[in-house]
Parts: sequence; C-alpha cells; structure tokens
Amino acid sequence: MNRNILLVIIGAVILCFVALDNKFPVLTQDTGSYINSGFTRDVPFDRPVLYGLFISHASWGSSLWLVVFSQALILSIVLFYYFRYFSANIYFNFFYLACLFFITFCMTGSLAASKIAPGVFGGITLLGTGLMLFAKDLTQRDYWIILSITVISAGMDVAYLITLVLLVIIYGVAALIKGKGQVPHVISVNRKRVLHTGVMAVVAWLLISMIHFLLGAGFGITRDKHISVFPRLINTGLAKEYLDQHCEKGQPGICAYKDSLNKLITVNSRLVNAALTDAQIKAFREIVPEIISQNGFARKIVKRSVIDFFLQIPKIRTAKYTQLHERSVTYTSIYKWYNSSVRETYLSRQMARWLDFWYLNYSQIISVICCLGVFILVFFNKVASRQQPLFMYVFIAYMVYAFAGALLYGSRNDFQSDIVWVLCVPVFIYLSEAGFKNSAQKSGKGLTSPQESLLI
Amino acid sequence: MNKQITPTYKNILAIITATVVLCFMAFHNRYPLIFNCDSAMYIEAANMGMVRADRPILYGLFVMFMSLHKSLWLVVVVQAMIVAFVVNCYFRYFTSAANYIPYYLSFIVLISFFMGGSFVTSWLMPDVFTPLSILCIGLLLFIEKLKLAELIVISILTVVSIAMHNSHFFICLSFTLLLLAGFAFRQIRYKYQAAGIQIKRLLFTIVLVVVSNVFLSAVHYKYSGEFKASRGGPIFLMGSFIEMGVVDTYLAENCGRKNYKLCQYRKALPNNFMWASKSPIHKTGGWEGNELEYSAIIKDILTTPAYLKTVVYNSIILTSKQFFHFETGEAGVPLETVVNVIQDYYPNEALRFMNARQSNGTLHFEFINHTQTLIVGICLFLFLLVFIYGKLTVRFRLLIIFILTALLLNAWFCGTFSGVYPRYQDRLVWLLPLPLFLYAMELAVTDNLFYSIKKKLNLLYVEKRGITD
Repeated sequence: MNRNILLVIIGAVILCFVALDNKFPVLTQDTGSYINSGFTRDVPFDRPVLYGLFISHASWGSSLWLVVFSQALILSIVLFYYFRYFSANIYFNFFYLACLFFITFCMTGSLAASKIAPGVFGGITLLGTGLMLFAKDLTQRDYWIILSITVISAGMDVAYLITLVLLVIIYGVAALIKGKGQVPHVISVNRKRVLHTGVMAVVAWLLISMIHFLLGAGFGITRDKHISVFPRLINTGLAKEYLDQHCEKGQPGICAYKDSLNKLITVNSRLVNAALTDAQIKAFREIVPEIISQNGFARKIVKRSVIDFFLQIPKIRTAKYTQLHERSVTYTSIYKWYNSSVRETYLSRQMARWLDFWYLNYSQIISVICCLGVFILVFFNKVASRQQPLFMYVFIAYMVYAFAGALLYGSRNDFQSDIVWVLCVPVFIYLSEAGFKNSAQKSGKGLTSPQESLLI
Repeated sequence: MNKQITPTYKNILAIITATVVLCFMAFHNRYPLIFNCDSAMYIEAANMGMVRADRPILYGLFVMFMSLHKSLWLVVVVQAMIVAFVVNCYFRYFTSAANYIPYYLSFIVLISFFMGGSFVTSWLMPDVFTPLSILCIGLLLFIEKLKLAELIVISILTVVSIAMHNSHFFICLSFTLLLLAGFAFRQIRYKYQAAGIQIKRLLFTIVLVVVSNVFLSAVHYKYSGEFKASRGGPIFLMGSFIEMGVVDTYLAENCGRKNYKLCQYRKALPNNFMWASKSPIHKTGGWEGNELEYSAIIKDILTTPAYLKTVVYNSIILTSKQFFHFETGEAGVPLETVVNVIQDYYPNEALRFMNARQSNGTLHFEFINHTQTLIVGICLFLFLLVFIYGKLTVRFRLLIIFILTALLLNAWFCGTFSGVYPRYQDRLVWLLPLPLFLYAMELAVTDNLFYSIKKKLNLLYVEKRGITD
C-alpha cells in the first residue's frame, strides 16, 4: 500500500481517539434528529438533510463507528493535502502527523471527528475552501477529491454554506480590486481560483436544494424558511417578547407554549424536530412572518447577532456531554435504527457520566494562545512571509464562521470549539519551513519575497 | 566502546530511590490504594485458604506473606522494588551507556508523576504483575548477557508474575507464540538475529510460561484439591458476549429449540452480567453451576458463522477501544466489605486506612490522566516516525514492536474476553516511553544528546521544490 495512504488511514484511527476512549461515538442532543432524518428521509425543518443521509450511508445501517471513522478519514485526507500543497518541506509527512497528533491530544480535533454531529465538517469546509483558493499545482485527481469533499461538507449545515459564500464574497471583492493595487498581498488571490470556489458554493447550494426537492421538501436549503429561523427567534428572546405582547391569558395555540419555548430547541439552538406537533408547525408558520415584519426587528436581530458574534469568537471551550435520557430523541433513535448498539451505548463513559473535557479545554486554551502568538509573529514580522496569505485566510475564515454561527444560532453553543483547531494548521505549516526559512533569510535568498508567496 | 561499570552501591541507591518514587501514589494517598472489592477478595481468600471461582489465589498469598500479617505498606514497597529492579535491568543491559542512572531515574519520575506507573505499583491488585511479566519476557529475549543470578531471579519473576492473574497466562502465551511464529519468516528471522533474539531463549521463555501455569495449578491443588489454574473462563467470555449483543440474538433464535436456564431471563440480561447483584447468573446456580451451560452456548456461537462474524467484528472494535482506553485511577471510595476486611486482617492499620484520601473521596487523577494522554500521544507519534523514516537500529525497532504488540495483545485479550475497562490498559501503557529513554541514553553515548536531537531535527528541514539555495 502507498505509504501516504497508510499514513492517512493511521491518522484517521488516531483522530477517533475520543470515541475509542469514550467506548462509543460521542452523542449530542441533536444526534437523534440527524439519525432519524437519514433513515426516514424526512427533511428537518431547520437544517439540511445531508448529514442525516451521511450517517445512514456511512454507517451502512449497522454501526455508528463507521460514521466516526468516515469523518476522521475525510478530515485526515484534507489535513494531509494541506501539508502536501502548502509545505515546501520534503518531510511534510512529519509535520502532518505532528499537527494531527496535536489537534487530537491537545485540541478538539478528535472530539469533533468523534461525535455524531456535523461539527467536524465546519472545519473541513474551511480547510477545503483554503485549498481551493490557494493550493498550487493541484493534480486533477486531488482537485476533484477536494472539490467533492468541500461541497459535501458545506452542505452539512446552513452555517457552513453561508461561511463558504461569505468567504467567496470577501476574496472575490479582493480579487476584483486587486488590479488597482489597493489590496494588501495577504488577502489577494487569483481570480480564476475565486471563480472556481464560487462555482463550488453554487454547486453545494444546488446539491442540497436538489436533494431536498427529491425528498419532497421543496427546492431550498431548508425545508421551511419560516420555521428554520424560529430557533433563532427563541434564543434571542424575540419570540417570547412578541408573545408576551400579543397573548392574552389562557389563549390557546402558540400562546400555550409562551413559557416553555426553550424546550422546543436543543442546547445548540436547533429545533427538536421529533417533538413538533402539526399544530405547532402551523402556528410557527403564522407567527414567524409577523415577528419578522415588526417595526425594529431588523435592528434588534442585527444588534443581537453582533453581540453574539463577539461572544462567539473566544468561545472555544467544549460543551458538556451529559448522559442521555432513555426517552431522549437521540437514545430512541439509536434504539430504533442501531438496536444492536444499545448495550454499547449504555457502556460508554458518556452514559456513565464519566466523560470530562476539563483538561482538554485547558490545553486547548493554552494551544490557542500559542497559535495566536505565532499569528502575531507572522503578521508583524518586517519581512513578508510566504505563509502570510494562509495565516490571513485561516484568521478570516475563523471570524466568518463565528459570524455565520452567531447569525443563525446565537452564542449558546459550542459552535466555535468544533473548528478552533484549524488555527494550529498554518502554524505547523509555518514550522515545517521555519528551519530553512532562517537559513534562507540569513543568506538573503528565497521564501521572503511576496513573489514566492502561496499565490499563483 | 568499553562500558564503565557503575558501582554496585550507586545502582542499589538508584533502585532504592526508584522504589520510593514509585510508591508516590501510596504516600500521596497516605495508604496503599484499594480496588473495590477485588483487593478485599484477594486478602480474604488467602487468609481463609480458599480458592475463589473467579480468580487465582496467588496474589492473595503474595499480599499475605509480604505484609507479614502486619502492614499492607510492605506489599507496596515490595511491588515497587520489583518494578524498580526490572526496569533497572533494562537501563543497565539494553545499551552500552555507562552512566544510565540519570536516565533510569528520569524514566521512573516520568511514569510515577505523569503516568500511571506509580498508581499501578501502589495499588493492591495483581495488575502490577502484567507489565512485570512483559518486561521480564523482554529481558529474557533481548539481553543475552544476563548474569546467572539475574537470569534465575528474572525467570522466577516471570513464572510468578504470569501466575498472578488469569489473563497473564493467555496474554504471555499468545505473545511468545507470536514471536516464535516470526522465526518461520526469513526476513523476521534476520531481524531477530540483528537484535540478538535467539530461538533458544524464546523456547526457554515459553517453557517458563507453561511452568507458571503448572505452578499455579499446584498452588490451587494445595488449597482446593483441584489441579486447575484458570477459573471462570466461560463466565467471563459469556459476560463479554452479552455486552457484544450476540447472546441476545443467539437466545432469541435458539431458546425455542434449546432448553437453557438462561432463556427465562433473556429479556433482562444486564450489561454487568458477572457482577450485577440481580444478574441471572446468581439465580441459576452461580459461577460453577452455569459453567457447562455457558460453555455450550459459547461453543455454539463460535462455531456458527453468523454469530462468529458478529464476535470478530466486535472483537476488533473492542480491541481498538481497549487500546486507547487507559485512564488511571480506578480507586473509588472503599465499600464496607473492604473496610471490614482491613479491620479483620490489619486491625492496627484500619484507622490509617479510614483516614486515607481514597477513603475520604479526595483522591483525584485528572492531571495525571491528562499528562498520560499527552505522553501516549507523543510516544505513538514518535514510534510512527521511527517506522515511516526507518530510523533507529533494528534492536530498538524490535523493542518498540515488542511493547506495542504487548499492548495490542493485552487490549485484544482483555477487551474481547472480559470487557473494556481502563485499568486493563493503564497497567501497561506506561511502558511506552521506555524505548525512547533507552534510545536517548544510546544517543548520549555516541554524541551529546541535545546536539544529536538538533542534528536530527535539522535534517527535517529539506525543502521539496527548490525554493531556497
């Protein structure tokens, strides 16, 4: 077997560390909705069905371990490509492995890959987009692999798609005005590449819409545009505020849920789809346009989103993965679709309330501080570095991702902790060249001129 | 290079220091650590001269004799001393380095303060003998020039260590047979030759493994009149098969045709089958009363391809889980049974036991667990590099393979036949940094250690596209 393929597979196994240590893939409150949607083909109201389909197919309908391994394998492939295309070192494998072990044992890379939630695809979308924008001399095979992975990853959640679109817009604008010499070289990019990435975003949007259409949920990235924004109205308090103003005591319908709206959403601000009744769905459809059309709504939601954005940026601590109740949607979905895994689920550390990430959070905070230190070093270095555009891209992508998350889901979630490990990827690429960069700088040659940057 | 011999008194001093460091966790706890309720069972069985159905009596006897019926501290000290001695042999003989003591003590400090080494040593459980049996086998295979007295001591330790726990015999036997199978392949044979592994020594080790089983059978014969070493095998396997879910399927498909006692409980089989108080095993005749029925079920499962497929698949998953499941610190607040046993057999220590951190629930392992995870990650990363880039000598590479294989076999055996529990892997995982320390020592002989590392790192900075000169 090719050594690189073997390395990627070993990397995938290492990335499954948290799941193996937990004795079962880590489950979230949302897992059940995804599993159910994958098997019943019912498109959820507030998210794309793609991750559900991914679960049902990657697991071959028999084991959630295969889902975790597939996620880890995809992440391992993308990470490998990063080092293959961005590091000028012939021993890039060494730094690829170092980075992989680092995000597994010191950051949340392994946790993201080990849970049955689409979080890991957020990071993969960012990395894949980075490859599409900056990687030089991509082979035909690698181009299509990266393109497919990024399209599918972006389709896993609306926020990832929005992130992708915003990144295309930012780099598109930079590419358009590049000729006028008004754009610093760190964010300038080849126009053809931006075009490719833009097409990729459109393909991702079309793919999800088409799948939804084929499953009878209409042509769009969510099944119902009104209901899909309802969780956000709940977690901003706007829904409660509206109902307080318009409901009279004892009034039936949506008013009956006025004080228990939070029960309709999970900790990650997603709708508990299985818990929704037809009457509720009808009521939400009626109420959401009314709330949105209120005077001052736009101002309130923008203000709240901006606050959430700033709250989201430093929110890198991972959530608590608590024991699941036997009547929870996640547990019942495992019972229904993966019945042979029920015993295994019970034996997991998570179900025994023995899954704790206190020290991982601690080391993640230290790691992020160190990474930011390198970022500052690279940005404020008098001599322009070849890796500066990549550092800038990862920084922008991190911010855009936080913005998309804040806009759609607020800040009461671990959205950012799922992708914070991407910050260390450019750092390891930088380190892979640090040795001969120094010698090159001493001799006044190579690597230091912007012409030698990652840009084509 | 001529090896300068470190004076014996320095070596003895180093072993004593290592012994003290290895007892760190017991000192920190203010008393040897106990495992609910197993430690109590070992002590009780030995003092009552009773061979239990689920475990050998030997570790209980070891505790009884080493404590001199006076203090359990003595047991921990003896355990630590044995570990210190065996590890010392590696540092003394594996490389040609003369000044091995700093490396030896550094390794002991690392495994005591940042990994589970001290915990395993300070714990009144036979788990400490698992790494000892592996280390002893390693010494017998890798070190040709052991002195006769040391060879005898190591051989005795091998026999005794293997006999301490049911799993040791199977792990060590499969391990040595796997190594023996390597002689069938020319490529591996050459590597064995280069590393100094002789077939004579390997056969001698296999004999020791078999002798340990006979020795344990003889001990059991003395106490129970039954010449049998391993006990409760079918019950453990049954418990594991239940956790795999294969027994549920088997009973659902076969209870109509076969009249098993277990059939009436098939819808209420607990995960913790062997130890749950309401487990069907206790309602249908206990461990001994069910051995025949469970053996028949196991045989049926293993000889039916459909069930066997499930077992093999689960075995792979369980092995992977167990391999990465190495959290240290399975020392909860002792149950009343344990307190009673200490009061009965070590009354003068009961108060100290009650005042220990473990008894008060103030013993925490989060820090050690995190550092252990990091160290394991670093070791696996470095081992991977060794094999990718073909670094280190054959001898070191074989030592790494030796330790990784031991960990893998241990994970396979325990995960598949007993269930995934952190203590099974924690007992061995601290062996991982050993080859790295030995290699660091070897580097220091030929060159300055830090200079050598810097040189090797510099080699990594070779660019691939001709960007620099």
